[in-house]
Amino acid sequence: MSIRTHLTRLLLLTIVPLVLLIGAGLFAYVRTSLVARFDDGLLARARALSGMVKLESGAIEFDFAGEAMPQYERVGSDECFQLWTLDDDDAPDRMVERSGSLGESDIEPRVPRTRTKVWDAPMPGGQRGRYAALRFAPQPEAEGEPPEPEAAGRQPGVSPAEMLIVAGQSRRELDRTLSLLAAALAGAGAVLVGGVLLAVRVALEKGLSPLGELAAQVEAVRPEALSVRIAGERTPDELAPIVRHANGMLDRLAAAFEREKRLAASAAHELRTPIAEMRAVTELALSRERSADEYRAALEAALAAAKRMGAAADAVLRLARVQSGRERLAMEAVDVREVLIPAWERWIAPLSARGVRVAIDVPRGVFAQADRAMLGVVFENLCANAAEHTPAGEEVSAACFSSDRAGVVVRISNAARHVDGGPTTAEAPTARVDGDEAVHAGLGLVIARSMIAACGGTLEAEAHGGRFIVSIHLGRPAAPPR
Amino acid sequence: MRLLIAEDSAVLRASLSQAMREAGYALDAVGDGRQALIHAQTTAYDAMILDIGLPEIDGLDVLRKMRDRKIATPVLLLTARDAVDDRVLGLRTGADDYLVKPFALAELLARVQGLIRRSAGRASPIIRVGPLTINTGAKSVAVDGGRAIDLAPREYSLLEYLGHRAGRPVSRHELEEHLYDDRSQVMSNAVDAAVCAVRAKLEAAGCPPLIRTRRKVGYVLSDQGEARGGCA
Repeated sequence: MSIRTHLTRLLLLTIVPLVLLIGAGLFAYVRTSLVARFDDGLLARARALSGMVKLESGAIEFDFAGEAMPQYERVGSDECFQLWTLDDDDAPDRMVERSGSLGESDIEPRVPRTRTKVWDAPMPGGQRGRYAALRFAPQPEAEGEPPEPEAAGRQPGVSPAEMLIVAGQSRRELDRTLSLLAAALAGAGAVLVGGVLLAVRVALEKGLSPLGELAAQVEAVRPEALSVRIAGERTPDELAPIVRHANGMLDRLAAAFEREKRLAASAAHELRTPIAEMRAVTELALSRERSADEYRAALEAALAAAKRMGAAADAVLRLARVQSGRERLAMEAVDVREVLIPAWERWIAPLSARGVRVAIDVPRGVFAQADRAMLGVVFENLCANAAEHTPAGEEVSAACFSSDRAGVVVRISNAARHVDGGPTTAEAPTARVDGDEAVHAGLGLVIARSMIAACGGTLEAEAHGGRFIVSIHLGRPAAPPR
Repeated sequence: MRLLIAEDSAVLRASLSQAMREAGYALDAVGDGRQALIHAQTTAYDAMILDIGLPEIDGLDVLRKMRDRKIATPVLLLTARDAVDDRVLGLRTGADDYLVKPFALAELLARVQGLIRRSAGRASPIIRVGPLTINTGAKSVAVDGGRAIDLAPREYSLLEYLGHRAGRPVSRHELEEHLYDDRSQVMSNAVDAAVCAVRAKLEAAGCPPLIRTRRKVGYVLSDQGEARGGCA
């Protein structure tokens, strides 16, 4: 379910019942008030009518002026009344008076237990009506003259202890008012609900649009377009962390893809050279009849090239296995000198022949945690690079130092003619020449950096002051093995 | 024809050198960019095979410096990088051709021949001077009627060099420079001897004398004018 649908349902399920509840409550309150006011009016009329009943000389006098209250005279009008005496059992005894509006009908009296009682019942004309009953004691004509119950007795026409007046009125107006009120409330409620629906829709549309924009931008990121980043200028605060982290992840992904691409390109480049050598020597050997010695020399050269290619392929494959987790490194405390010196030894003679000075300062007893075989490949690559690129008459050096603060550091440097200033990285593993990158086989530095990283170290390459310097940080010194 | 090969791989450098020599080229071979630039500046090569990944000065920089100094030697770049961007960069830097490692020796030879032919302003590998036909692609020489003339590699190179410049005199010094490399021990009359040998073989094949001597100027391959000069 979408956020939009979920929020819409949630809002509707909250707001609509609330609106209905408020509307119903309001209607009930107003109806109760209106009915109460109606009843008050009805009871007031009953009281007024009861005030017209007097005792005169022991007889009941009903001083009713029909002309003043014509609504009680007209047959079928909305108002009526009827007057009874009550017997000792509080039951209607004798009907004393009735309004002309009743016609041939009588009111069905209900005697209240207390003083008053109100109820709904049909009017004489059949319409809905409401009646109010009032028990009262008739007052003598003169004020203060007490009634004479012993002398009058309980006889028809003789003064009763109590009487019952019931006044009735049609509910037509009341009911119409209530109907109008209900209709108005229902209409207002419907408008309110409709307005809420619209407002919810608009609010969600606007509120969720940043999510839609974010989704569209994320969809635009593709493997072939990893440079795309999510624009965060108009992102709401709640989504800003998502944008930030997504862009960070894309940066890391793009860098990883770039490293993989460079490594693959460098590996292919490095493997092509020995293949080219093998092809050239074999094609040359086969181009015409050769002596046995010439064939032998060609085969030996091809074999040497095949071995170099195999070593390069092994290094790349091993690195790939380590990086993918299919192979674990054999980490151990490695004596740096024991690995670095053999990597240099094969170059000492050729370098000396070219007049290149070799300075090696690698003390004994410096141990670093590393994979011995991988470290050996790294040193061989770096030493080969340094040896091949050092101009005649210049110097190449290898040094190792260790401290608790810096850890174990191996530094291999060589003079590089026309080296430009500024640092370079192992991803652009070349010596700068007059400001342009030379394209020496980058496998050495690219793969070396990856291998050192797999061992938990770092490799930095720097070119300045006429020298190319590779620094390998192997972490804290390791304790020598027992 | 004289070539310069600049390749840092000793194995590849040796193989290319031998292949080119066996194809009749005189050549010099170096293993770094600094030497390549020095040779390119001091010797007029007919073509140059230049590896990009050279130590000291990389191949592209060597090429750039050569072009800056108006050295128009045709250059074929060798590299292990086959990306389009790399090829475009090489060609825009001034290379005339580009070959990705590994490559077939036959293709390298053909491309070098094409470079030399185009630098001489020829669209076709066939050079005709009078009744003589020099097929620079097949490295063969024939006279009208289809009679092939068997020439030694150096003799063919001489005839091809003169053929590319047919009608123009070529000095003895120029011939020495383009037909012999630093490995060759060139006698003072080596060029003259080679010319005589070629003349003899052409005559034996029934070809009229086409290699003419211009005194104090050099030799010219032409079917125009009167033939002069002879062989001792």
